[in-house]
Amino acid sequence: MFIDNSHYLENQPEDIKFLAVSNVRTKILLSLYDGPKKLAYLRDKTGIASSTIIHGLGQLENKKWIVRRGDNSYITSKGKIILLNLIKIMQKLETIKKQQIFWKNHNLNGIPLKLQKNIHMLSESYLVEVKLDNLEEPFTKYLELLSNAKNICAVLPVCFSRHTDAIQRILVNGGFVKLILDKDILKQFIEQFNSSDVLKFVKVGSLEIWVVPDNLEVACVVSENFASLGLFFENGVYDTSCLLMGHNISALDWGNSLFQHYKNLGEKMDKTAIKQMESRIKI
Amino acid sequence: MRNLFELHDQIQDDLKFMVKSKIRLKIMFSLLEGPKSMKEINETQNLSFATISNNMKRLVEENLVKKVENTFEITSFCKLKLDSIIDFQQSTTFSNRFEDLLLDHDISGIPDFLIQDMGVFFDSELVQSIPVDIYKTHNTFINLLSESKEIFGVSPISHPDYTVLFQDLIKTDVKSCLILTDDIIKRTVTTADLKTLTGSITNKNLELRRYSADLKIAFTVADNFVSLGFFSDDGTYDQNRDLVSKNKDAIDWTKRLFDYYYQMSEKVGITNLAKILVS
Repeated sequence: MFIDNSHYLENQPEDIKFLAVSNVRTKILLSLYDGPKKLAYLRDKTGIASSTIIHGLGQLENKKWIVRRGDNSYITSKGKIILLNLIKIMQKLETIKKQQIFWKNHNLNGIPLKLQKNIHMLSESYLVEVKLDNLEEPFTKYLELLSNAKNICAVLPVCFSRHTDAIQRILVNGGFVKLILDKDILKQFIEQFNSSDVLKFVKVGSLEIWVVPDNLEVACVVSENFASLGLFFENGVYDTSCLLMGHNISALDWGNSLFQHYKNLGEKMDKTAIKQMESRIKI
Repeated sequence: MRNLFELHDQIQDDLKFMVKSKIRLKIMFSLLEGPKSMKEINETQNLSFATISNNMKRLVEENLVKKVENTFEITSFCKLKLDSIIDFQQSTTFSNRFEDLLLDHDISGIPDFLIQDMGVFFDSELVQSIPVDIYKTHNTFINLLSESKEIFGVSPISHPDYTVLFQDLIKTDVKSCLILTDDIIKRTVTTADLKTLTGSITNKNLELRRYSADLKIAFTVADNFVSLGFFSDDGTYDQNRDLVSKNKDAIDWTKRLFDYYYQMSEKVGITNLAKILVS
C-alpha cells in the first residue's frame, strides 16, 4: 500500500531506534519470544549484568511492551506486535545483506511494493552467479532445473531459444505451463516456438498465456520445487550473470504471489486472441 | 525458530546505521519523494550545506544514495531498507494507537505471521459502546454487514440477531462462509427453524463450517469492511469493542486470517451436524 511519507518525516522512527541503539533492550525482548523469563535466565542467556538487565526491563515496562510479575517478565500483546516486527525487520535486513549483490545493482520496479515488503520470505534463497571458468553457469543451472520441472508458472520479460526449448519439453512431456508475457516477448516466443504447437497446447489447455500491457521488468519462474528471480540493471539491460534461486515453501509462495500479481494485470489469450494470433502467424 | 541473537548480531550495524541519525533519516525520506539537489534539501529540510555534505558522503559510501549530475537519488537498495523501517513504524503506530485495547486483550487467536502484519490496521477505528449508546458496537456491525456482497466470518459467540441475519443470508445472493464452534452451531440450529437449517446446508451461496477447538477471536471480513472482536485477558468476550477498518490492506489481511481458520475447519453436512448436536 501507499504510505504517506510525510507522516514519517514528522515522526522519527523512535521505537525502532529505541531498540537499535540498545543491545540490552533488544536481547531482553528477543529472549521473551518463547515465553516469560526470570531475571537469572536473562542474565545467563545474554551475559549482561543483573543491574543492567533490571534497568532495561524497567525501560521496556515503561513502553508497556512487557509486564513484571514477581521474578518473571512477560510480553504484553503490544510488546508481541513489536517483537514480531523486530524479528521481521531483522530477517529483511539479513536477506538484503546476504544477497546484497543482487539487490544493490538492479532495477526493482518490477517487484510490487507488497512483495518487496515480504522480501524476508526469500531469506533462504541463494545467488547463482557467473563464474569466470563458466560464464554460462547461472543459465545452465536454471535450464537444468527448468528441464526437470513438471509444471511451471513464469513471468518472462526476455526470450532465449534454449529457454523456449525447455518450456516446449515440459509441454511435450505432458506438463502445464502458465506464462505472463508482454507484447514484444509474445511475438518472439511464437517465432521461436513452433507456432502450430503454441496453438495446439493453448487449445488443449496445457499452455496458458496472459499478456500484460506494459513491458515487464522482472523475470520469475516457479515450479513445484524451485522459484527463480532475475532482474534488469538500472540501464535497462537484463542481467544474465546472476539469478536468485529458492527451494523452500516461502520462496515458492513469494514467486507464486509475483506471478499472481502479473496475472491479475494481464489479459488471457482467449479463442479470439488465438485466432488473431493464428492469422498473424500465417502472414 | 533459529537463534534470534545470531540474527541480531548479523544485522545490528545495518539497523543502527539506518535509524540512529535523525539527519540521515531526514535526507533519505526527503529523497524518497524524488531526486533533489543539495540546495533543495537545504531549503526543505532546514539542514546546513556542511551537514548535508558530510552525511551524504556516508550515504553514498553505503550505496544508499547515488549522485546523478547535480542531484541525489536514493537507490532501490535504500528504498528496500527504508521500506522495512516504514513497515515497522506502521506497526508501532498501530500498537501505540490501540494500546488500551491491546494491553488487556488476548491476541493469541492470531498466528505470528499475521501479527507481524497488523500494522495494516493503523488507520482503523475502535468502535466502542458508550453509556448513551450501549449497542453501538453491535449496531455498527449489523449496518456495515447490510451493505456487504460477500461475508466471511469466524465466531465463537452468538447473538439473537445473528440467527435472523443467518436466515436472511440464505435468502439473498450474498456469498458467505461461516466458521463456527460446536456450541454456536448447536445454538444456531436450535434457534433456526427446520427450513432454514436444511437451506443452510444445501444453499450454494452459504458455506457453514465447524471449528472444533477453542476460538480466541471473533471476526468478520466482507468486501467493504473488516471487524475484529477480542477476548479480554480474563477470558470473557468483550462485546463492547470492535476494531473496524475499511482499508483494503486490512481487508486482505483478514482474508488471510480467515483462510488460516478455513484450513483448520471442516464443512458442516448432515452427518457431522447430527454428531455435533448429540455431542
